[in-house]
Amino acid sequence: MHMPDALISPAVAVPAIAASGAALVFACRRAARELDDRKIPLMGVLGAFVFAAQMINLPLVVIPGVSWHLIGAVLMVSLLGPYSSFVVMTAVLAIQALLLGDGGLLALGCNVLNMGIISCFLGYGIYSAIGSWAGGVRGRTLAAIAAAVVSSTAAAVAAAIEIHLSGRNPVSLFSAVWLMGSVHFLFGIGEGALTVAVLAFILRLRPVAVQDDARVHPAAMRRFVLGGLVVSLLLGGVASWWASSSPDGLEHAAVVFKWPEGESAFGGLMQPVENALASVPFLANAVIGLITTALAFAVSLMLSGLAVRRSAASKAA
Amino acid sequence: MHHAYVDRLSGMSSPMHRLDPRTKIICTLAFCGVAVSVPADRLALLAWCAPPLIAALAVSRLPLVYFLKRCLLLSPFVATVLVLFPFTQHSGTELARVGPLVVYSGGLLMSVGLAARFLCTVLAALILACTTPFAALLRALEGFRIPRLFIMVLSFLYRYLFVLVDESDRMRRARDSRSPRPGGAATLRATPGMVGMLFIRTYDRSERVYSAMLARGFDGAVRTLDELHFHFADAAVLIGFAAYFIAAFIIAR
Repeated sequence: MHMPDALISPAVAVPAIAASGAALVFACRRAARELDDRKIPLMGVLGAFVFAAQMINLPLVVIPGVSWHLIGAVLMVSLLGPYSSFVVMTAVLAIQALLLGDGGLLALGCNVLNMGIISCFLGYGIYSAIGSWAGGVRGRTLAAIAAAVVSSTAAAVAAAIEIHLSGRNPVSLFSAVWLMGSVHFLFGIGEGALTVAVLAFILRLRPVAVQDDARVHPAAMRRFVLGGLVVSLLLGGVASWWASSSPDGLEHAAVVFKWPEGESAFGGLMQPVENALASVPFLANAVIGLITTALAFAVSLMLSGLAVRRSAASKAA
Repeated sequence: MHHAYVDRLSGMSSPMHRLDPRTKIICTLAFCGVAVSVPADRLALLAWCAPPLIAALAVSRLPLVYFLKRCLLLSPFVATVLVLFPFTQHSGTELARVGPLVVYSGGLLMSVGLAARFLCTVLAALILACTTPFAALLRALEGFRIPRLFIMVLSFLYRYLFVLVDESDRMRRARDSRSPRPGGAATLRATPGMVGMLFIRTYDRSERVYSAMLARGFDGAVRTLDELHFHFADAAVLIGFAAYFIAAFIIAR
């Protein structure tokens, strides 16, 4: 999932860097206000933990020879809350890019967007929404699995869209989204199951570590999500407009929207839509970008709205 | 371990290592930007990216073999895209037929371009990492107005990375030496416990770290002795770098 620079065009990288930079500054301020000094080494060391935990590979029973490891975003969110875990995940991604060449430097903005913002905030929204709706161990289990599945799929879909907008997508947008999304849907199930098991282990042995101050203020969360929606809509629109007006994007759009018939059943369904859009290649990318960002954020807004109502209700009760 | 290897390289001494980290970060980012924005139909322009890379490698005296090995470790992500392009990009002339699949020259060119860009950007990032100690990188980030909390998290992360990776290595070795058939259901069952235990050890360690920090008078600010210095050489490198690419742009046009 770590995108290298080669798969990203500057027109996509620059807005993504701006968006994740803004999110980082916001999350740092918020985390600094909510945390005491004690949590600073904890956050750093937990970042190192994410690294170390990723080195415990799990053999995939289904496909021999392929192993899979924990990403840890949902685990972080359930232990630290969204703001601090966003800072930690961003630090992990930055170290991977800076030291190991895993994920590009320019693409860091996109990687933070996918694996930081989407994983942590969308994951947190879903986790707290379901967790407070169906309380108890069963609720927590369901919440962690749902959060892992949705955030992992959403991150993969976002990555596919970013590659497409960059004009580096070898297949059609819909095939890329479908391919990336389905693979990471499966990964998400594994991630969720492992997260639940690890959480249960920690709760049994060291319940102090799982603290309630991980909760955020509902109004602040709502403001953040609303702000995020506006910003991402703007960015989605501007970025895709920019991408499609650059020669690279234009040439690419012309190729993509003329793809061979019957490449996949899924693509076939979308053919009329693509044909209609292809008559205005300038607009095509922009429209697709706008619709997908709007959809993604509508879903997250709905979910976090649900979370806010639920947590307010549980507080009143 | 490979992290330690990165650290050992960044501790070497060469004109490249002595440059201000801010200069190196700016040059690396600009270089990646240039490499990435070369349009797909003018791939020959990517050749302009080679001289600065070769110069940086030569001046920094880094081991070439290590670098090439690192670049060959393509991410599965890039590999998929590279393999898909020649078959799906139906432009240019038909080159070969593999069963029902047709390879087109346009797609192949796209693939080659991606691989070249990948090589350029990964090499540039690795050169930056291998010529700059991490502490200096953090100082430079501070100079770029990155939030202080984030930099502190980064520095803690880096400091305890090796400790925890070794910890997880030890746990893995213990598991493997106790499991008769590695990779079976028993391994699966043991994993949550391992990750959970790793977390608990991490958590306890952070408590100890914090007590140690308090014992040394931590008041929320981290002070270091090394200051960044912007020398004449930095200005020369920045100007030379910019001049080279401006010249390349004018000639190529």
